[in-house]
Amino acid sequence: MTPVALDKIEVRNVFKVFGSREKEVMTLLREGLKKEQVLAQTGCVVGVNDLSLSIRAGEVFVIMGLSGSGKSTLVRHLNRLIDPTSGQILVDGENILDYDMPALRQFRRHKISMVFQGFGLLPHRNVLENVAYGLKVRGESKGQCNERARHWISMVGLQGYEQAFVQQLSGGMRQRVGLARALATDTDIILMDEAFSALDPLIRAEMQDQLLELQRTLEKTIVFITHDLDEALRIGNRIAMLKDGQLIQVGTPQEILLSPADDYVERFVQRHRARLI
Amino acid sequence: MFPENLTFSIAGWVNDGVDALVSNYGDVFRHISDTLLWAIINLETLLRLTPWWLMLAIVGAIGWHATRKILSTLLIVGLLFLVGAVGLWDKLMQTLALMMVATVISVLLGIPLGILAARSNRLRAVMMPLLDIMQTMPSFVYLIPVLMLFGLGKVPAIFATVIYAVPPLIRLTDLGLRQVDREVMEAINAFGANPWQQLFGVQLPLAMPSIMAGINQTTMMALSMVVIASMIGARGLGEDVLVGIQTLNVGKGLEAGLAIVILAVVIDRITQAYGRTRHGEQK
Amino acid sequence: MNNLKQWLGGTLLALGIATQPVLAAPAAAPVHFGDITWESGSLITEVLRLITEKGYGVATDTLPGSTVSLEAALAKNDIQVIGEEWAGRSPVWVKAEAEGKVFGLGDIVKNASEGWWVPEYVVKGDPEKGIKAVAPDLKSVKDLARYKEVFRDQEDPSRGRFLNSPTGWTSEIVNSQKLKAYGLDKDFVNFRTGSGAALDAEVSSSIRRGKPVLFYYWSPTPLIGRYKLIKLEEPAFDAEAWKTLADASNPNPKGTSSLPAKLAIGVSAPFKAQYPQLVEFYEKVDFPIDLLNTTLARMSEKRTEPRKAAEAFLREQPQIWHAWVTPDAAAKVDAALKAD
Repeated sequence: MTPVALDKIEVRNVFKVFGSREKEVMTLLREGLKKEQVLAQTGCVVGVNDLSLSIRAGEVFVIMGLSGSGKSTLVRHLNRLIDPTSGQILVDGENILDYDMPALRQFRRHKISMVFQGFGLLPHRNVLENVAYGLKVRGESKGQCNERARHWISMVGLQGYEQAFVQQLSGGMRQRVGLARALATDTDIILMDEAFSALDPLIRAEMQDQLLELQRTLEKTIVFITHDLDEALRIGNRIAMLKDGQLIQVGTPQEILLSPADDYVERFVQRHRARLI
Repeated sequence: MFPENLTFSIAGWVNDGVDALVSNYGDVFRHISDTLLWAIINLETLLRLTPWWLMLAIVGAIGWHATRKILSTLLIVGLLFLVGAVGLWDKLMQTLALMMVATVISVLLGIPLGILAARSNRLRAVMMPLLDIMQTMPSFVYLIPVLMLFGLGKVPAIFATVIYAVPPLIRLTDLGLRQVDREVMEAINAFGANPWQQLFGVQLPLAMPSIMAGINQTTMMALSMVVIASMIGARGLGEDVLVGIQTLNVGKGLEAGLAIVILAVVIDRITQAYGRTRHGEQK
Repeated sequence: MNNLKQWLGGTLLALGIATQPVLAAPAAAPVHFGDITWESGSLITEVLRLITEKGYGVATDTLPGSTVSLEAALAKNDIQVIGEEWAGRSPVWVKAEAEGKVFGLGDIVKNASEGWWVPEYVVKGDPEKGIKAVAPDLKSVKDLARYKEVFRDQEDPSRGRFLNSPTGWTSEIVNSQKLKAYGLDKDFVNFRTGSGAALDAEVSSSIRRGKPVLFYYWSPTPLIGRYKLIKLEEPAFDAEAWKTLADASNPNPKGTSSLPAKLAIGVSAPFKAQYPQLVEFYEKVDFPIDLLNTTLARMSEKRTEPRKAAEAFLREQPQIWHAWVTPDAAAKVDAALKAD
């Protein structure tokens, strides 16, 4: 098997600049200026700066960094909620930046789904309808929608809440709905943007366990964003460390712990050690 | 005094423009007017032919469906009965017909314009000052030219009413759509919802309380135009208010004025109740 | 306590002194004219004010108000003059006149009239504009029943539309009764126009588009001066029949021409006692109706301010108003006009 076939997602030299003076900023970045210098000179914010990485099929790939490091921006490139200023993004060998709107919609409906930090659930729909949303959008029959939705509601442990409205649920339960909604569409890839960060620690651990439990049988490609190294180490097969929109280090949890690439990674690791002691 | 050589006037230019418009395109406008008139007259005939007790029963049923409160429903029906009891039933129906047509047109114009405004910041920037003008320009200023183009009576009355009453609906539709949670929009986008599914499945339902508040505002403002409408020959409750003013018949004016207030209260209670129930369902 | 009384007394005294000159020298207070808003009224008011000020040296001012409220104000001497009073029409006026509180001076516009009008082209056509005569035999109100199709009401297409005056005007009642009296109430919609502006706009718009229109109107007015119109014939004036028309509740009204209008200058009783020379002047005022109509038409077409139009009138038509005033006053007005 060639390495190319193993790469489910490949990000090649992606830049993302927020603001109107994109071209100017790109030249400055190629000249090697830092994020703060660009901001001072042009007023433009650099979200992602010349970033390349590849994610293998069936792994839980964690992207880590402090807030403002560009991790949420990066993950939104993978389903093109945000389009890059330059670069390529390949999924299953296809450059998704070449897709037009209908093709992109098909891609989002069948290949990639997402779980959000603030859940992003529909407040005017009940749990069943929320979980079935991805199926309904892609035009599956009502029977099919209901059956699949009920299955995934029970898989995340929410049986009996099918008719409840989102406001009636606790945070943990809401994120189970979010997770069930993503799983129900049965896409190869699931993006999880700080999915558990809004939950309190006990619930969070529970959710992490549940995710790992599900992943054992599902073998999805999961891209998981977090700012918490404990969480990253617990669930990640591999971890990418981001700083100022640049990739600092990629490796297994062990590699990160044992040989941090620089001070930035080192600080995360030290805090983790301190907490263990 | 303001220096003479700095003054100018657009009055002559506007006057000539209106004259030319009336002379050259008057008949075209009258044709449009006749089409609209057909709808108003049919509705008015229907309302006026409906027996009063049936009308009260229908309003009662709507009131009950909206409020689910016996007391509110009885109050709504009782107040309308009172209007009939002072002999203003027929005029009430005429006013109601005028208002309903004006409101329907306002909704047909206001919600799509509100949606467009919510989608485009540039359009919104153009539209908002226009809405301010529509609301603050004294209505007689545009009433007379509209009247010359569309003829005397119900049609210009509806035009004037719509011009005055549609801005809050556009504003509140725009606001409602813009207030939909950004992450919810991102989520449904991420699941591949097309623009149609986004708008009708999520945005409009979530903006509904705001839109209903807009419709409520629109009907209230439409009612406040009733007297002005009667100044250009639209029949109804406004006519009696006008007669009351012009003949110093304070009592008659007050009766008709109170009837307008009652109609406002009834419509207000019903539309507000609908706005609330939608909201309540979310909980 | 005493202090307070003294203080109060002092204040009242001060107030008394302050108001004293106004009470003691009423000659210095300006004469208040009712600010009439319709064109002929505003023009006549300004003509009177100009002569009163320049010729007789009496300061004037205006106060706005609706017809009825101005009449009530005149009865209370809150205003002193109403420049154009359709004497004998409104109950407020009739009552105040009977009580001796107000007086109608002069007969300022002879042959002032009201009635039902149609544009001339409706009867005769207008070949220049390519308008055919749609009602060639329409002469009198009796012919209207045959021509209801011509004046079709879009809101009620089986009937014709008669544009009545706005509700609340005395003429509205008369016209409604006339419709019944002429047997037209089945065939014609009694369309109340809501406001004078609306009636004007609809008539002007119809004439500009060359469409038939049947409407109530009155003279002197710019509209009558501006357009070629035909007044429909009505039975000769009959006082008994007029009573049935003026009474809205009379079930069997009888048709007749309207009461010949007597346009007068309304003044309050104190004014009449105080300004005999002005009363003498007002009693002689006489505007020839055709001249007045054309002056009004020009004023409204060019959208001239009433005061400017009044000055122009005084300049251009001295032979008319010189006859109203003393030679001395005439000379003073002429001098003032030249000075401007």
